[in-house]
Amino acid sequence: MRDSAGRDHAGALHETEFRLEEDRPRDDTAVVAVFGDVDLHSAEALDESLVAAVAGGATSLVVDLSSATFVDSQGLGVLLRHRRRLDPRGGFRLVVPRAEIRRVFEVSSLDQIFPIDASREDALASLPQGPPNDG
Amino acid sequence: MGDAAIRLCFPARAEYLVLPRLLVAGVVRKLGFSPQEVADLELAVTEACANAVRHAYADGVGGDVEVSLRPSADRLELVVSDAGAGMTLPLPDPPPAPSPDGGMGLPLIRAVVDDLAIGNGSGGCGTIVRMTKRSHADV
Repeated sequence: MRDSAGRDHAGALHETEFRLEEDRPRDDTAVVAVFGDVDLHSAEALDESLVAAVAGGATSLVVDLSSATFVDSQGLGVLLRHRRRLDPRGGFRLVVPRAEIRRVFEVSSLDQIFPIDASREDALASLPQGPPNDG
Repeated sequence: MGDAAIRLCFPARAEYLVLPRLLVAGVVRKLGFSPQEVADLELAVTEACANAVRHAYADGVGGDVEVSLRPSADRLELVVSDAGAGMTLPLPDPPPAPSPDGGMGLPLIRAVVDDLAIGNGSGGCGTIVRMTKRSHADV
């Protein structure tokens, strides 16, 4: 059964299940795609994933929240910390196409701090350009 | 839907925070709240419950968090309570600016609900967070 927003109630719990996928479109750039809910329970895993991406050589990060179903203050805190820690020569961008997720950035005024794009392609195009990843 | 209360009681552990969120979303969608209002209430209940999970009970002691919803035609009254240590009141006013080290929860709740009141339970034990959000959607 779907409601007017197109959400599947029967699958609601499954849809909120947290997981991450990392992509390296360039040697210096990691894209971490977030699926499901980011809250007190899952924020640490997001933190660890971003720490690992930077330790693996990424100087620019894109956090893709296209498939995120919820983000709370714990998630915002993780994103803020990583934006501040990142090498200023690199870039940190968020992909937030969904209005419900963008809302938390608006009410916290963090949309004034984070560069937010509507698509992953826009975010990657806006980063400082490094060499393409052949691998 | 009448104005009887709906209650959820869950152990004060982070892995259960999805439960109050799904409950609140399910109830207010049926009331006809807009998607933005639903998202606001999911955020408010999660922040209030996460505060209880993080601060109410000493490590290893544990306890419960109770969420009570009182829906009516154009609003939702939402109460989150615990039986833990209680918050130090009154809270600073104005609230602190967003910080990566926490402390964003209550300012976020204030930003998305119409009314917010925070108090201690009977005998000064525990914390009670009362929130009201009115719907401006056509219902």
